[in-house]
Amino acid sequence: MRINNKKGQEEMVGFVLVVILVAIIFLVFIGIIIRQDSGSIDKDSREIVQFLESFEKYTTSCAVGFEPDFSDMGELVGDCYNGKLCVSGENACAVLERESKEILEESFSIGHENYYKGYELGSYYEFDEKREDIFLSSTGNCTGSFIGAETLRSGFDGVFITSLKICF
Amino acid sequence: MRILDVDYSNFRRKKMKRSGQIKIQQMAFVLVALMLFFAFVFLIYFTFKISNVEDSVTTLKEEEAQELVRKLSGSAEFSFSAEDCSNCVDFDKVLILSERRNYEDFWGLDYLEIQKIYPNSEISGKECTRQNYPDCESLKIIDNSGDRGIASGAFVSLCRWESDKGGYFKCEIGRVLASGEGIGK
Repeated sequence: MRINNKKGQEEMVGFVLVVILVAIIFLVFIGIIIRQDSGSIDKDSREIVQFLESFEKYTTSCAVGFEPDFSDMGELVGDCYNGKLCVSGENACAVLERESKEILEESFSIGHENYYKGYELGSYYEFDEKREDIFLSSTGNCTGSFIGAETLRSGFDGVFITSLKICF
Repeated sequence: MRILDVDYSNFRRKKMKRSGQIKIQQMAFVLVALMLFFAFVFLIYFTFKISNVEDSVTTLKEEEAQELVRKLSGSAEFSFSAEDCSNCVDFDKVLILSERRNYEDFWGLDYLEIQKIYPNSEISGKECTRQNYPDCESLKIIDNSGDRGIASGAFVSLCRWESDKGGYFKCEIGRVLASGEGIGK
């Protein structure tokens, strides 16, 4: 009776070991597959880089000194940071926020039922390892996967960084 | 009284032999099951791997097509030279270019179009001509009939001379779309 019991226990231990071994191997495979999939986040960043380059060159309706010396979007970020006013009397930051929102809505179809679910566009000034936010515009749901990029523009003693995240 | 003389040793040997055979059978079954399991896992893994390779090929083709479109926008026929801008297309120059038929076979494309993305609220759907320029949305440079396939696109800045308020260079946001046999292959 005792010998039989011991044999049964040994078989159970063997079975459990086999199950554990198989489970570990299976987990390793799943891990490898998931790790390979996560690389797709950067796949379309090139398109975002192209978009940001065009975005920075866009001629806005804000001229800080005189008309027709209209600032482009990249310059307007600096004007907003320095608290400047446009010749029209509007605040540079207000123009920046309004026009960047309109540009993004026209360039990418963003919505609940669309492929792109949301975006996050922001600019900040980085100097002496400090970071000051200039503006942030976002819409929709940005909790899932995303594609994104950043552009740099030199400032007086630091750099203006504009970043865009498109979520899907 | 006769005592039966039974040889139990033979019986025990037979029983042990049978139990050993069952154990070998069990082990063989486990080994076969394990082999089958690993075969399935490898099969699933390679299916994933092959589908990833196919995706990578498609992505690489798309990227190559995008780069070609981008390279096109940097060529002498398109580039905006008034400012240092690698991503800018001279919209005035391209309007004139679209009227010249000699360029139809120059790039080996079946379709080449420039679309204005922003601002375009009041000009939606209007094709550019000399009469409505710059208040128009799209400019077709090459449009050969037939199957165009999927057009590849890249964002560009569309820059032009704006004569309003004393005159200045104005850059807007646009997209170059191209398709053809040479693209993405």
